[in-house]
Amino acid sequence: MNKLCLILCSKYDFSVDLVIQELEKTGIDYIRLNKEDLSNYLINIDPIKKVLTVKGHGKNRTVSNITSVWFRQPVFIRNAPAYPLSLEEQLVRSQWAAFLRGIIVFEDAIWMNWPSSTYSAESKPYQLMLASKVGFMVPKTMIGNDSSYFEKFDEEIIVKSLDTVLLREGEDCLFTYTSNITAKELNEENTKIAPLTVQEYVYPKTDIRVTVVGEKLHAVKITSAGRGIDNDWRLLKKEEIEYIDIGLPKLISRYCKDIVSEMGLKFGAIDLIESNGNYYFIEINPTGEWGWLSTEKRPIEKDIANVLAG
Amino acid sequence: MSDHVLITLAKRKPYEVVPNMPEGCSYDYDRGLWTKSNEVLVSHSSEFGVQITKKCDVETGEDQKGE
Repeated sequence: MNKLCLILCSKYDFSVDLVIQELEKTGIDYIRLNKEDLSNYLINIDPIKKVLTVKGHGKNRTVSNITSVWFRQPVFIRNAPAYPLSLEEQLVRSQWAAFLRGIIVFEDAIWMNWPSSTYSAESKPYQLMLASKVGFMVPKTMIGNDSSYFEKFDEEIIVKSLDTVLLREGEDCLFTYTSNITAKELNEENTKIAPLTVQEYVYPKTDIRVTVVGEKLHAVKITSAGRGIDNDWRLLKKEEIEYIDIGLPKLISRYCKDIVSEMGLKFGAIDLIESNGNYYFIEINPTGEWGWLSTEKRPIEKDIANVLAG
Repeated sequence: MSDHVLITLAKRKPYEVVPNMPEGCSYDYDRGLWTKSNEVLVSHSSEFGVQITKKCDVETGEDQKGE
């Protein structure tokens, strides 16, 4: 049976372009479906016979040989519309999302990642529990909306959302990065309406991104002018940031692979912090971005294509 | 406006429905990737390299987790 990879992603998911070039090189057949274009195609599934048909944009495919699925779709929908959705928009959003979840009828394919694994892996409390269980050091953490618990932290703390904060107001969008504040700044008034995550401030710190793809692992430290970055590194200009390959201690590498495996994932982007020789688990992202880390010497797209090729 | 700390700490910027793409590029539906002047837009050897994967990203955490 010829191999066929189904890719479910966004049209603006540029990292997918890198993997597609690898699939082309190796001659693996693929179909890329972008969420923005779904209604522009005619797409059907026969769930009993496990057949997918895709027509439109020059394609006319009927396939039953899907051997791998790269599910780049998030499981949770985060961003709220800033305007009332029309009936059609409501219908399009709810039904296509369900349709994409329905691709799990191709259960025998290699999945990167299986949606229910992504679902649980996107839970930050679950991540932290599991990270601790596999052996990682985890910063002291409290999650909730009772500020009396936050007062027990040392003066400096990390405040982060429990899930991506992506809000809309008029013509603006709001995004909340991980922030370093003092515990005294939190009170009932500014925490009660929604839960948040408070963690001990680990300092000094160097951020490390570990990308696990199947059995492969790439570890990169993220610095600016050769030094660790105190706050959320994403707030710096891109030209001010360095990504440097590092070797992790064997035990830490094993923990990284263990947590990905425990979560039933084939891909995981893990954030660690190194501080005074200790490695802390911060979070794992089952659909994390990686294209910006890829180099010809660190070709993450090849690892992904290899897994998808089976 | 709420005083919730996650809102007061939020960074505000104009909402963009789609990323600000380089001029002259287009999506190749046949291959399923972006091109410019018949060359692949995102590759290690292209004019834009792979950092475009960040550059054009609409900030949604990291991975376009939004809808």
